[in-house]
Amino acid sequence: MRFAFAPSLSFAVLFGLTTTPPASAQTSSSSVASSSVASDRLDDVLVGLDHTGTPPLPTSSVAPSVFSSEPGEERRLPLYEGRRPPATEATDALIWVPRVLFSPVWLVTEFVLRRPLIFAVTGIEESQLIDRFVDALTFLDGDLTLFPRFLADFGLRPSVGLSLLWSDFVTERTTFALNGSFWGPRWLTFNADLSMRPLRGDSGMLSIIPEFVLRPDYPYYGFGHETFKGDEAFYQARHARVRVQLRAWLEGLSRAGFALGYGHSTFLDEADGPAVDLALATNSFVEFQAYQWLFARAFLELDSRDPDVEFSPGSGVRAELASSMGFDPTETSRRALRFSGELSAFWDISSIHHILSVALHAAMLERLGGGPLPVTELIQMGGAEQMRSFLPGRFVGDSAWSLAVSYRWPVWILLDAEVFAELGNAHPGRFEGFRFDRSYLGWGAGLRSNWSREVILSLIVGFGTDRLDQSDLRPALTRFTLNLSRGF
Amino acid sequence: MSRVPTLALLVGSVLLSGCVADLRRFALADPLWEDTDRQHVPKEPAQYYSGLLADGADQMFFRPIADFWAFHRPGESVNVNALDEVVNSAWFQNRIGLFRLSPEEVARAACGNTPTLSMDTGPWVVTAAKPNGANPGFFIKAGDGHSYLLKFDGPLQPGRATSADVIGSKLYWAAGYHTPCNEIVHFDPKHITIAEGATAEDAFGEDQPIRREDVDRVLAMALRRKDGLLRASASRFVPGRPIGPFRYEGLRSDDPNDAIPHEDRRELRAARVFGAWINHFDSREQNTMDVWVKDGEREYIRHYYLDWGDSLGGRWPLDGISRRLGHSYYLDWGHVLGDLLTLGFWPRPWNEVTLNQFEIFGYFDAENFEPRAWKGGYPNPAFERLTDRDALWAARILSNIDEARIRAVVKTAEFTDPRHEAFMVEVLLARRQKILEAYLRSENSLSNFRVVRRGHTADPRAQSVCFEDLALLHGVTSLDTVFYKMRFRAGARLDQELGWLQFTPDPEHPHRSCILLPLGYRRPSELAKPGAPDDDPLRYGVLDIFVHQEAKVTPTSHVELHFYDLGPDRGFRLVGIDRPPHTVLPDLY
Repeated sequence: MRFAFAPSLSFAVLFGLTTTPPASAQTSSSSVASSSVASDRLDDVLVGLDHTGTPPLPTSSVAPSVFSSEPGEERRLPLYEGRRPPATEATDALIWVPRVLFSPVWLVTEFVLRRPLIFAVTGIEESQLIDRFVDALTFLDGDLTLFPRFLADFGLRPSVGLSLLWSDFVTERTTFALNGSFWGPRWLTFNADLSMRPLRGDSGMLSIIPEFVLRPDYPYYGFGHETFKGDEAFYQARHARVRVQLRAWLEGLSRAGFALGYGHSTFLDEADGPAVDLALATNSFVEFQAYQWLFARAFLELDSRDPDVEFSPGSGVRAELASSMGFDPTETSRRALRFSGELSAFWDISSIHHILSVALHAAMLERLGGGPLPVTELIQMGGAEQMRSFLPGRFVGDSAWSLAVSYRWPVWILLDAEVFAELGNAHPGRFEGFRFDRSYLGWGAGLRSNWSREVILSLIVGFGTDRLDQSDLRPALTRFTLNLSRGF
Repeated sequence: MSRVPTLALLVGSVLLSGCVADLRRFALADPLWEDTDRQHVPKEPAQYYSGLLADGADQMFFRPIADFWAFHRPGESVNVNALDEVVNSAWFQNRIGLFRLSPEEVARAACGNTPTLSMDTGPWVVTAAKPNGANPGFFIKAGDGHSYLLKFDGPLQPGRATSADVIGSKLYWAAGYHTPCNEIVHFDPKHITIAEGATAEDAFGEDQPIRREDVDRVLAMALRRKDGLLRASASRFVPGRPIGPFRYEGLRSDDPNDAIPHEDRRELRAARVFGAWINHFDSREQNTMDVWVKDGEREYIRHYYLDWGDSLGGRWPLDGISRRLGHSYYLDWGHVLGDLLTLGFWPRPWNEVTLNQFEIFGYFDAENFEPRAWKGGYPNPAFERLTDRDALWAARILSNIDEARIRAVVKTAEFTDPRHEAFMVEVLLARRQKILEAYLRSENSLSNFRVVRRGHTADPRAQSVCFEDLALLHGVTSLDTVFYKMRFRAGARLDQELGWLQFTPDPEHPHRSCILLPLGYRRPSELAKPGAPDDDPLRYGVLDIFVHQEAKVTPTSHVELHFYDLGPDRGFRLVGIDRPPHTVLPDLY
């Protein structure tokens, strides 16, 4: 390090001399006297000195009517800095290597993707097509809206459809919703929900929910705890059901309810993929080309979490209990009593909706009539609620359990992320053959919209093992679902 | 010669070219202050329609994807003169950055000396309506002959949107942007009449007649004073014909004056700093306007900023969005990915913010404000290319908008509660201070260079270079640690050191300093041959000023002052100021 001082150095500053106004301490046309800037600014103390060496500033803060060329003369780009541009650097030249190499990608993204799409979106916007489209899906001053829906669940058929929501249907306290989805003539679902709020303070809801389902892709892996991916088969069924349900809002997020329902189901022969050999499969299918089912169900949900934050309600515990009694009115030996319960604990570890949770779920049924029960009335797991890494109906038995841990956190204003791991299985009887190493392990991650309970967009990638006592913990299956739906 | 050695030679020479010192001398000329972009344009440019969804989708999705493969390089702004200042143009007019505007002038801003919109001049006749935007409004023709856009506050934050529109317009005007005259007005609803044939576009773009009940429905949302008068912001029509917004990137193909890619215009890049100051998150292209103006015999496009109604704490109906405004884009892929991969444990400011004591100002605060990290609602191609030099330029302008001027501007918002006015002044000052700290601490804080003859006793012809240290002026850095090291160099390759100097600021006036020229025994003109022309390269010299804000061997920043030495009688001429992005230290420092 070197310190070199000029012999002529002098930084004693001589301020306050006054001769002629400096070129630099300019004021705008009308502001000379009115300025209230502190007087120790540089230009104030240099007033009157010879500023010959200082470059001139513009003459005024008001735009001049002075132009550098005549009207009609073509604009010449001036040399703004008053010196030649910087020399080309090595990186200026080398950057052309990736530019040339990736030019096809850029050409596609810029001229095939970006510009045409923006041109199209601009055209759509300018012609108010979006408003017109929304208007076309909205009726009765917004009381009735249509909404698209789709579901892609790899391994099963996808579906597309339409939802209709009619608020203030007939009366102000009534809503009507209708969902329809299809994927070909053998994949059809319709359900409706006519809900009324008969109680004061909107503390209860009475709903009538009819439903029709025709699907050729119901998966079936067998009954009980010893089922394997290699046994995967499918069956086709048609269900027509209706239920009447009364739900009451208790304190906070707690609920209680009661439902009565009737259904008629038929098993058909045109299943997707390897079909269940009805003769060889479990007795869940035997004897049933069709059956009817009458049931009554009661449930209680107790929840200590904050009701003001409905979709990420924070810390607390939740208990769910449900019981139903069902029978086939045409064959009274087909009777069953079902119980299910779930105990969950939620911990918002940051108080900003980073929620760690653990949930223990168990369900079982009692065959009251001694006769066989159709597979669709047995305990099933997999799909949207428990054991989400597995397809719906992956586990079938007289009883089933699952233990799940999950962590959910917001990644965007309208989107939460979740990672989860689950352990569980189905069993014959009352958890007969239960052992932890006879369970299946699933884990996965997902994204889920958080703006509404009614309109749900979700994406889940899940992985599942074979039964643990026959598995090396490597994933034996992958489940991917993308779902946009309007829930009830 | 085979191809491989030829290629190697080519690559090698390219690489070496970057290592050779680039001697770029400024011309011996006055700096350029007026751009040539106000030439007559024979054919009127077409209307440009900017779609909100299209622009948002482009900036959030499509442009980032395409730009990723374009391998754009960062670069300095184009329209910068030899003094590192923006030249006056159809886009920008130097005001408080170079001139001493009084608080009253700043408060009047684009309104100048014209009278305020008043009910005394006759009824306000509604000619059209502004159906879109967060706050709907009317176009009126007033008795003073001007047309105005009247906008109102919504019920969510009464008084904020109108205040923000007025305050924002005046601060931007002071900075140098072209803005309309925006003012607060209070009026009797009966003063509003509807012009015959007045129409407004409905949701499908169809013109519908404006009815009295439509007017009353909008007026019902206006903030009402105790005396029954309604509050609005009145934005006076600017002269000329609007032809749509300007874009923040590229060129307008039908405007021959438009020769600098917009993303390389310093004033557009640096609008990010001013936007950050007042949290103008809605700083998208739809809030700008190109106007076809007639200026004498010439017709050309002038470029305006519009609508600051989102600023100063505007909120969205979704609280999750409101919390993030200024901190994150509406859809910020980087933040989403970051939160996804870190399981949400990365500390985020939007998790820390709380509503202000005055709820009308939402989350507008200084505590959680990080100027360098500030983001608008969605990406802006000009903002993204902001360099430190651009931001420093904006900070220098901002440093001149002092408390008196801020108070004067805030007063024009006519807050009904004096505590609101005090709060707004306090927060604007605190956010301004944060911006100054962000850029004056890491970038070169010296400004206002003057070359003067101060009547030196030994030689009255002797000149001094005087300057201000804005970091010291604004308390950004401590006098205890600041010192300057200077070197004067000249010669054919500007590598001949003529003198060194090191000093600390004078405690009496720490923010302003002067040093006597030349440094050392010789001056550059002595290196040139007798009778050499004034612009002889050997008359050229560079004064390097290394600023040490901390007690460290390496300087905080560096600025170069470029001179021509015309001899002892005519003296030094400052011809250029360079603030290099990277400080290159001499071998022996």
